[in-house]
Amino acid sequence: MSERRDVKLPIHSKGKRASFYRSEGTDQLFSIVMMLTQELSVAYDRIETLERVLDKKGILARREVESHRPGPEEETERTARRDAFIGRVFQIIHEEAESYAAEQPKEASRKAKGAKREKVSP
Amino acid sequence: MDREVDSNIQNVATLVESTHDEYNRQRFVSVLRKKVLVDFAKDMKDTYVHKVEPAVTAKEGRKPKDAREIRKHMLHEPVYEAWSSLRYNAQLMTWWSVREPIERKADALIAAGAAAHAANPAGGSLALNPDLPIPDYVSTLDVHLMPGCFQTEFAPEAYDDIQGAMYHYGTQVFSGGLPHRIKGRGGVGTSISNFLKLRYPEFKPQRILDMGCTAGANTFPYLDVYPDAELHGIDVAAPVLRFGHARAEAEGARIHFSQQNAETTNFPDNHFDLISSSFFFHELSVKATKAVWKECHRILKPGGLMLHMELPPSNMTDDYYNFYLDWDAFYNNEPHYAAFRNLDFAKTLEESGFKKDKLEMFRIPNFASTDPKEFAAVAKGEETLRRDHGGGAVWFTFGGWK
Ligand SMILES: C[S@@+](CC[C@H](N)C(=O)[O-])C[C@H]1O[C@@H](n2cnc3c(N)ncnc32)[C@H](O)[C@@H]1O
Repeated sequence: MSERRDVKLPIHSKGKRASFYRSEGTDQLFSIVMMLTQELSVAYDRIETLERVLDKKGILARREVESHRPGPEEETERTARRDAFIGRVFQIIHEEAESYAAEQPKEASRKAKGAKREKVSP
Repeated sequence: MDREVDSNIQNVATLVESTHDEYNRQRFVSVLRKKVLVDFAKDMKDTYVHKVEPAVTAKEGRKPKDAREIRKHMLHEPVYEAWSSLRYNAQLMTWWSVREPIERKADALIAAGAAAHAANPAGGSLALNPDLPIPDYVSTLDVHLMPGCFQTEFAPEAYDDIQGAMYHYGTQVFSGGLPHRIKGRGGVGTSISNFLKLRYPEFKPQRILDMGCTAGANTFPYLDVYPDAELHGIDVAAPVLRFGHARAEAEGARIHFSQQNAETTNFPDNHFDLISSSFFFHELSVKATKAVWKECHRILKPGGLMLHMELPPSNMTDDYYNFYLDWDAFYNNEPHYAAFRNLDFAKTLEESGFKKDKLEMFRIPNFASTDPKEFAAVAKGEETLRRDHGGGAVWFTFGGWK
């Protein structure tokens, strides 16, 4: 099937976000730290994968890695990756902002989309 | 047992692919959850036992008297704040870790599901009812913090099985650090069916129902033990049923899925030999739970068995454990959890039509992670296990014979 729908899945879970700390902002900070920890772990996994693959192929180029400097094209690629990375780590900030943005115009847009979102079963 | 499997049909349960980093993000969450639920949970309990309880006792001349009092004293302990934050975020990160891979494959999931449904190689079925109202207790909050919950549809005009995929792939990450499952089969269904086979060798259920089956993870295993049974799964949410049906067809499992409210099904009286469920009632209002137990009694055959898996009622576990389990009611969008666990199970089952001397309660060890000899000994009643539910080592089940 060649049909393309461009499905976008929600990030936010319906219901109030839980809060465990009395001082404002700590819950957000905690969440950020956790996402960061995850990304750090993933980055380490990637490095380890790389090293193992290189090792298997007998190309252990550690000095080359140390002296490597990215060119412009590579730098563009890295910039995009870092951008997405930061977005992921600070997701909670975006999420909160998004929930406010979504609150106001929702009624109108829901009405407009109403007919289309009617459930039909195959 | 292996039925004929149509290899031309892509299985929705395996077609989602993760990149190197996504995969490692999922693995991280699995390990994180295990640390939170096992290691850090122990740290929290130790802190309670060695610090909080003695401090309360010294000040008030007695220990906290119930789960609520424990909660009051724990609420602003740094360990509780940190543990709760870890647990809460790990729950959200579970769903986030599979969101992007699923989103990328959304069209493929829909197409593969529709193809499996159309080809129907296993001879199962799917009966949807778009007019069925979704109960408030399902639609008000995203249960388990799963964005979109069970019922959201993104392509309602098509074979939208996406939230089924979310649940399926998410729960794989969820239990990835714990030894519950074999081959993507649910631990509960596998454990209950094997337990029943050993304990009641004469009992050969011909028609079996799994209520609140979601994507069918715990429905499938009944066919492994009772291959000739007519197996049914019901749920109120269409996307999870579509997913379960598509997966069942691709895997050669003949299962009949239908979109029904378990409070009032369209099954005739005296219809099923065995009715089961897993992780189901804590999501229902107590009123709905009572209605479902009555409905079970109605559609059960005389001589049939109803056996549900849930967390044990609070009068069977200690105060600290109740405090620990109540966490989900407060923060995991499962507001009915506590009220359900406070029910008098025996009394409520009797009010639903089950005779006092025919009630059953078993602690069933998890089949895949238990030594077969030990499992058999427990099933035959030669040995009893009283391990906590927490590690997933034992499933609490209750119900009765009609
Ligand atoms: C946590 S899930 C159960 C998990 C599932 N048994 C498993 O093991 O994978 C609860 C399910 O119950 C369904 N549900 C909630 N209320 C229901 C009702 N009244 N009748 C039928 N299904 C219901 C929800 O849509 C959801 O799929």
